[in-house]
Amino acid sequence: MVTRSHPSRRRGIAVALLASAGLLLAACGGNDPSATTEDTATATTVADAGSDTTAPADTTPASTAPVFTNPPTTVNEEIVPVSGGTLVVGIEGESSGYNPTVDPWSNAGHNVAKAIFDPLAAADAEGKVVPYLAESITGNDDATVWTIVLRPDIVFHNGEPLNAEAVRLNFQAVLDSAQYKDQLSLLAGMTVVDDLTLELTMSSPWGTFPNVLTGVIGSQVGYMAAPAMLASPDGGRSPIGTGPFVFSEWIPDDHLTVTRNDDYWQGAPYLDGIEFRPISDSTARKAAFDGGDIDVYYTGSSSEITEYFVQQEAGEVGVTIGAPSEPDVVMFNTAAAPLDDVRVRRALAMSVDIPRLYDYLEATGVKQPMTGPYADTSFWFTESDYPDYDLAEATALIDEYEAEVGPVVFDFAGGQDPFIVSYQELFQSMWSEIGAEANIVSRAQSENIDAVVNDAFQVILWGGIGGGDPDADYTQFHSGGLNFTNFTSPEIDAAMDAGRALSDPEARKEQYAIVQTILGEQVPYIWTGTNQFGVITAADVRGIADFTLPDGSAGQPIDGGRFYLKDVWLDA
Amino acid sequence: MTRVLASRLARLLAVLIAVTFASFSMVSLLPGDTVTAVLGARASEEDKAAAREELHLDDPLPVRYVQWAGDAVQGDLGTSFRTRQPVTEAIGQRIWVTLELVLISQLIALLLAVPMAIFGALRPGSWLDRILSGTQLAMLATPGYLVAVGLMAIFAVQLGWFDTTGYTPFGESPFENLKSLLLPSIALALEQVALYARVLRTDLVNTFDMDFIWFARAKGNTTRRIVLRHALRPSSIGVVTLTGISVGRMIGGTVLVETIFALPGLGRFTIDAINNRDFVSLQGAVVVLTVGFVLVNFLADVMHGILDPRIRHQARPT
Repeated sequence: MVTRSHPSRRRGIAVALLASAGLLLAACGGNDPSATTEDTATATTVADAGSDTTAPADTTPASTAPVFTNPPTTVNEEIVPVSGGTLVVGIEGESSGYNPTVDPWSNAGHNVAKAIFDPLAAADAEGKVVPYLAESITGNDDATVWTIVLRPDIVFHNGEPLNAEAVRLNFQAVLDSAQYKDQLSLLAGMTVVDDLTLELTMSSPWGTFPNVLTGVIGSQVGYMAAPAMLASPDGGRSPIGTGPFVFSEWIPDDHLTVTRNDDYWQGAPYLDGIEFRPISDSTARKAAFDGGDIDVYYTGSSSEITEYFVQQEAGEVGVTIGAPSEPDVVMFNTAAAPLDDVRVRRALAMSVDIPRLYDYLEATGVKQPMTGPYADTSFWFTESDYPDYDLAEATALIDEYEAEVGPVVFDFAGGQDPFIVSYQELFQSMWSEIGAEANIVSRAQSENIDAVVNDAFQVILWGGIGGGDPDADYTQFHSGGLNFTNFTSPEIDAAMDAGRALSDPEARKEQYAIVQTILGEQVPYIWTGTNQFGVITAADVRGIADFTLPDGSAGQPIDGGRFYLKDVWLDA
Repeated sequence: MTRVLASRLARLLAVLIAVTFASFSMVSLLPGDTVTAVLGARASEEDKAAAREELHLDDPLPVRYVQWAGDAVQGDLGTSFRTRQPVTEAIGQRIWVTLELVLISQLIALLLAVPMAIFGALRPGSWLDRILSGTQLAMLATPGYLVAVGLMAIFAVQLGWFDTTGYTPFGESPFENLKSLLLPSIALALEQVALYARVLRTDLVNTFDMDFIWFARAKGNTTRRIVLRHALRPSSIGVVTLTGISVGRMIGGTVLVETIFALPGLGRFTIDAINNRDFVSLQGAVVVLTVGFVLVNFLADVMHGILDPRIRHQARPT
């Protein structure tokens, strides 16, 4: 019997709101207002362990390796998984639908999707991209032609076969989608070679192509939907995939249920079914878990994670921390004065006292400081000249600027949640110590997105940048992309282009080191640290960290707030 | 009666046109681009332009409104461009939740408010009256969010008497249905309790001072009989009016309560539509809510006539 603590509204709970509402990831990773995280897909090429494919390279970075704590899992060989039971999962919001080529998904949508759909590729325990529905994904030497060979005898829940034509139709639906066509912008042609082989021709080298097939925030290309579902105008309301669970019922804002796919190509999952319950209020979600109404939920609130760590010690709950998701940032519009001057940007970064921020967020020991888009545990991390905390130097830079140009005054935009406003006030007070005046602007998320898209901002709390494979940041850093900061550099453009074309991770890392070095010097962003999600499970929920790949090896079970449930079971 | 009904219907039609047109205009004034909200910031300008054309967003507002209204009078409230679900179907899934929530809340509010008002009015200024007034003030002053979270923490999490979140349809289990709506209904009702009790108490105090009450007392009627048979009815007009008006407030309150208790109701649907610039869904919700509000107030007017014969006689044509 689980004894749970009295739920209390804590200041830290609102950190989840900060991570979701305030950081506006929707602008970059889809447009779901509740979107919270990103992708941590890493690595390049892929060939299944047993295949004889010739990939451009077979080494991949470990990148941000997941950190697993000690929830009860099947790792203990004495524990034998049992079948049965329905798992109730609390998700943070509702999705507009479940068509992967059209509907933008936050963590909530991805978690439902991972039960119903399978991706063509997935990340292994080290973050390396490996084939999943595909048997192999092979590129030619210059990564302009990719060949996907599918595993045989896989069928969708409606009986349609997963074949090369089905994959082609999925990719075509993406190319026809206003929301996601940019995800396959380099795809120039598709040829069905045989029933299980699809050849893709790229308009230019694309060494990181397999990354987009893993099904991550902002890139849902990899999830394979049944052709009949894609052809139906409202197919997203009755999703059909090849996944471990079959869609059963969806009452929007109430529940979505799936049942066990007894014919699943990897063997039927343990659970009889799963009920996903959208509970948008973070306090209510926690209360629902504490009250035993849901078995699983995920949170970005450091204080909640810390609280549950204590309960985990007593065996009351399980806490599993996944790979860190993309960091939170303060983003500058470098085309707008006074942020067009690097001295001001460096000074503002220098004056941010990160330990003080974490103390305020109750995130000490959970969030990790960063000096660039990739955490120092990431394969892609490179040291840079990103400024350290130095109030004296920061004050000197501001004084210098003010003597030459004038006062440092700017608008600092964020969300409307009171906690986010108080978080902004903390920055405001730190900046005032060096003589910079920040005027806090609180706006609805949609207004902030519009402001950023239309260049009508100076400084803003933002997210959706960094954390995973650097190629995912192409549109942020490249001058030809969205580039919200307006900070452009020919060297960065060249490095991002080269990194995209190359296959060898070490060679790519060299290119991305150039990017990080320049970003560290020029400071278009203040990096406020990793964004860590914890998956909280009831004591009888097992196997949340036991996601296995088709070859039986360990996969990356949790990526940000997204997780697979095919290997989860309930301890009776 | 036919004339009265015709007059009411005409008024309802006018209100509907005014409210739906106003909401149409307000949606277009909302900051944030509808197409960007649907397609995302990464969509190309060409795709955005195509979507605008498809959604007729480039048409003048009155033209769009007339097109929408033409479909609406034929029972077609449109299809949400975000979820691709017919709005009528979406509203049908949610309306009963909100309807039940509002009805149970009103019931709870009246059940609590009437005795509080009577006990307070019987001894105005007494310690009991002061305690009741203080309680009502606290009810008014406590934010609905705190009440909802507090009720959830105590009765659902600590005591485990109720589910924290979720909804069970009445047809599935009447008991579970009531259980799933009781805490949210109480959270929604508390503010109304205070309002109703204060208005009714004041009216009762005035009524108790009227000649016919003194006459009833002189005849030896018991206090109970005087209150229930003579004073309550004429004193209820204010509360009945307030009940009608407060339905609108309650519908606003359902947004918060439905969000906290994760109920699939119309309030949550409406706020989602606003957040996602889903004006088709929003229009549908506005129509339904407006019709509901006007109907409730129509019923309140009818109740006035029942409660006070003078109003009935005034309405009768001479």
